[in-house]
Amino acid sequence: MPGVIVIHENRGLNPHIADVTRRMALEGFVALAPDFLSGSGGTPENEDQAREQIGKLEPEGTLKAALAAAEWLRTGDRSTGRVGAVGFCWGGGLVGRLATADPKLNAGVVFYGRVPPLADVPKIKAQLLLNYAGKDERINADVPAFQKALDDAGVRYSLHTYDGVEHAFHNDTSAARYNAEAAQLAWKRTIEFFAKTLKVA
Amino acid sequence: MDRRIIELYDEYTHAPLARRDFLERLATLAGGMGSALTLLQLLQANKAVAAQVAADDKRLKSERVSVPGPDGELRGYLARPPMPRRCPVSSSFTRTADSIRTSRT
Repeated sequence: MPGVIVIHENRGLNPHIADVTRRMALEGFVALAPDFLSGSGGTPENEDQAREQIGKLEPEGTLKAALAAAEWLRTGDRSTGRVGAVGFCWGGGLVGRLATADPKLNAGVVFYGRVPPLADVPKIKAQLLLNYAGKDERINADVPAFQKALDDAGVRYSLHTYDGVEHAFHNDTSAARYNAEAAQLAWKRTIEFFAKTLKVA
Repeated sequence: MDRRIIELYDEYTHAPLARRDFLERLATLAGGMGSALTLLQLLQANKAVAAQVAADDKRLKSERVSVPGPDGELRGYLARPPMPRRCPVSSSFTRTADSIRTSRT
């Protein structure tokens, strides 16, 4: 089976992300959710604390950790060798950066994540699926420039903006921002995308 | 929910806004601290919401793993359907190789 890295929000590896990882596995992938707070003792129970610790992480260190996780999953008989990554919010930003840094990454799916440094976009070899929330002004402000960079570099991608929904619309444990219709559609697209890009010889 | 509340929570979760300031502003928007704390349950990741796929779902194998990382061990959660480790293609090659060995002896 191909592998998928599931990269958590700025709340760390919490029960919600473990659930998302299981959902991915049910679709026929070996799914790995790294805990990027491993270095500081693992994700704490309290989400404010988790967010505070995430804020203190060094970007270079988290990128190296993500690269190590992808390499681990694609080697040692753990998967077919084809690996994708999906990330949410903070994790979406890390998927973008991982795509610029890992030429072996086959597919990346971003859910409302910060765009990666535009100068690095030409290095992307993976195909991308980008899911943004219509009301997410903070993240969406940078997307037009990101799209231009992707087009200029010839990166293969699809981009969807889900109208009228909030940042974090896929997180079903946060009632205030969850939108079931958008979440289900975005998830369906994600699975189809991974099937097309990863479930091949 | 009032959009200003969602925007406030977005600010709190992405900018350096102290929790006390956040709660005070939330209370102002919500009409009291009691209401603020109720709204907080809807904004934060709520552990009371059941997982879509239970942790002990029998269709999956899941485990905690350690990935060797550049700055030490990276802990993680690994989930997969319980299929044979080898993909079907390599299993049939193994059987073919066995039958070739058998027919030669």
